[in-house]
Amino acid sequence: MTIKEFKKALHGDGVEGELIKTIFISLITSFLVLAVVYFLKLRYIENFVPKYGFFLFLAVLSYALILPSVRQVRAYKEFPCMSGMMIGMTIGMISGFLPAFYVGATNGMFWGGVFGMSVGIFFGVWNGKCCGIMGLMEGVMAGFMGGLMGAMTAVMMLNDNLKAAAVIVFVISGFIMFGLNFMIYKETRGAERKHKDDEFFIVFWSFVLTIFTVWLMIFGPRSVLFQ
Amino acid sequence: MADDFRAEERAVPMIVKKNSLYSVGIVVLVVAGVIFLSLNQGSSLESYSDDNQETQIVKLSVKNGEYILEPPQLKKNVKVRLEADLPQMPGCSKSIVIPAFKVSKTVSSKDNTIEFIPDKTGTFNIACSMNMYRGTFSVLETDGSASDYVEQKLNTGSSCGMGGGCGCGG
Repeated sequence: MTIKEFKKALHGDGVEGELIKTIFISLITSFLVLAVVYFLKLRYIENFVPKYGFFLFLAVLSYALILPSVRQVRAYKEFPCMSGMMIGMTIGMISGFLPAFYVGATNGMFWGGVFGMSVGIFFGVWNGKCCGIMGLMEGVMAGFMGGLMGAMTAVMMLNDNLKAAAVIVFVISGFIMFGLNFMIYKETRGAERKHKDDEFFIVFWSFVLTIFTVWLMIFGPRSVLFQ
Repeated sequence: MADDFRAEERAVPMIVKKNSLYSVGIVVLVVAGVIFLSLNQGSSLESYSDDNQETQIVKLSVKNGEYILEPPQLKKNVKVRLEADLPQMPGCSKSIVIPAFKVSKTVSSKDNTIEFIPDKTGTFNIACSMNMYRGTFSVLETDGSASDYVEQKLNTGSSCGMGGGCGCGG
């Protein structure tokens, strides 16, 4: 089972064949939401693009990275305990760290941490619970740690190449999520799909995550240093 | 049976095509986003460079975990140049934020000054970017009178304070 076979599967008609399509649908949904909100409201906000645009853009890309894995996990539903721990940990950590980093960079450590922990723990538990209590516990712990660490890293880098760090963090997270997709493919070799989410699932979650991130970053509460 | 096989055979290149289209779509969306961002980048908020203006020179240092400005009182609408006394500023205290005037800058041996125009009067906060080193300064009216306005205290806890020793390398 090599990367080559995985690449082939990405173009096949199985669960992995939906990953690229899922990224595309998530991006389309999030960009549409952003475009509508921008023309209705955000363009009237002073310095919107220099202040928030970059982090919102990366947040949207990050959600498009996370949601395909969620769909892939849900499609197979059952995994061995070890794989479940890896799934809970990876999804919890990345979905906690990335939003926390971006919101931390605009709203401060407290709100970035709270948002990151909420998203991270939610996705970590949701995906980790496929495989028993250990996956669930990993999801909670990774979401908790990722959320706090993401926000803390952003605030510590506030005056030290924050945007470059955000790109580096995003790229590394992209590789990790790709690794998770590959691991799930490898672990479920020959397994049948047990559940099929339609495209509305991705549209819904992309919409919810994007709109909530926009609201929190721009209109939400922030630490005194960011007011 | 033979028809089914042919239909399957035809379906595979269709899927490949579809996924290639999605990949191209993803790249186009990302590139469009990057272009939109780069076209809309505004100028930095902290750039003030009118050399004809009167300037107030203020020395900035850290003592017992607090920022000290010398003199601690500034005039409204007169450009301020904060000159950081770097040997007196440990760790993250070099990363300075003045929220009221949208100042956020890290001072270094190459550039130890921060310039801004105080356009409001009252007592304002200055802090490091981690909110561990803190201080206040006042801005007076142009006629020298003081304002009653006091900016809300930065009320999060500090683990540094006296002489550093915190996680920020102070």
